Amino acid sequence: MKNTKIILSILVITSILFGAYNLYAAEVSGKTVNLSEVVSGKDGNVDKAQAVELVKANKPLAFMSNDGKLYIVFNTDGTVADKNLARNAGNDFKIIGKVHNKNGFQYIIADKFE
Amino acid sequence: MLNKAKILLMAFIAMSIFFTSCEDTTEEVTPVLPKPATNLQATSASETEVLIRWTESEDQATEGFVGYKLSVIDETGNAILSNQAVNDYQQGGVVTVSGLTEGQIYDFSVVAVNADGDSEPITIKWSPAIRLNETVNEGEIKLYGSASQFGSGMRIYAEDELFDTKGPEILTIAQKAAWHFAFDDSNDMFRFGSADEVSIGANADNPEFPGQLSNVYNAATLNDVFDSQALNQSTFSNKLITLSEAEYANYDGVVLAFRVPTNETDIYHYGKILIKKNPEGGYVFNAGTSDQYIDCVVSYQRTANVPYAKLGL
Repeated sequence: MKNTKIILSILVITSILFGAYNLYAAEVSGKTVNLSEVVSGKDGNVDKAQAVELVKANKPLAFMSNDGKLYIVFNTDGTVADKNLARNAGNDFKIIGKVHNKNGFQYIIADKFE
Repeated sequence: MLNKAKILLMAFIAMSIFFTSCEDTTEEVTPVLPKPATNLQATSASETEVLIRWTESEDQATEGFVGYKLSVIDETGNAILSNQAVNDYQQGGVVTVSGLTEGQIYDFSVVAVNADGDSEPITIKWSPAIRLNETVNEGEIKLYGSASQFGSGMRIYAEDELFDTKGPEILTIAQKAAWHFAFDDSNDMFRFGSADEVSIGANADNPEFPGQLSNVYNAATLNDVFDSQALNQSTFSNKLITLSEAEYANYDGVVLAFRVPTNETDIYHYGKILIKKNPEGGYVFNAGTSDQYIDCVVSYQRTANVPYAKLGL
């Protein structure tokens, strides 16, 4: 009986921690897009070389998820993650991090790009 | 005949005067060399520059004192500077030595000079190191509190080859395994130090290579922190510094000497980190908000096991 209680407690704690981790570590799959083109109604697709040039010209990039949501992506030091978006541009990839929705503005604080 | 006698007499008198005056000026004069400068110290300003300073020779105010000569020699014996005159050095002054190579250890020597010659030299060994004012993503080096959505931990050095940037990486709790150092604002205390010593991120992976700290300096900038001996002469340990302690309240900023281990035994990278003060005199910016942070500057030796300097002579 005592063992059952201990096992049950461990299971509950593990579930809570796992739930918290999942809430924290969201994963979003999608691609890098040219933000200026997207807001002007185009698809915004860019390859890596184009994305690098946009970053060098201080033009903004964004992340378009596979379900069509547009995200601004930040690094964990608070900077905009344009360089990391450029590095992964031209392919579908996954961002692991915290997803926020504030004032109708969706953004991701990215721990990892893979 | 009379004329001849007169000439002889005059020659005799002239010779007498000559020999008499010679006797007066043959007294030997012993040269008085100046006392050497003391307390030669250095700090790295960038990957190509070292700043040095010293305490003036006791004879600097005496008549005939000329100034100082500075020489810089690399490890193979090549002279980067040879007896460069520094004649206007005043106490509190700093001399910038440029054109150096990061990771190379140089001998810096200074002699005091007066009209009679040079003093004994004083010497120190030092190496330039990169100064990092921004993260690898070109943001300010901010370590956020645990309630923030941004990172509390720091990997001290990373490079982005694609965009040619370099600097610390600020990492969240999810990336704790890669932390060297961290800011811990739990329990209303503001602490900075070794990543394995902080209480935040208890359920995350343990840091693989937590950094270690040694000396604490009171300085507003890294250029104010001079040393006369190598950092590896200090004792390093895994620890936290409590910035909210009264001891640091009167500091202009806290500078910490650190080293970070590598995956090879006893191989370290050395550096110093400045934790800046905010305009109100505290160490935490945006204090009391969920995004409170400390603001840092790093001096980092990218060549392993070069502790900036070895023990001076």
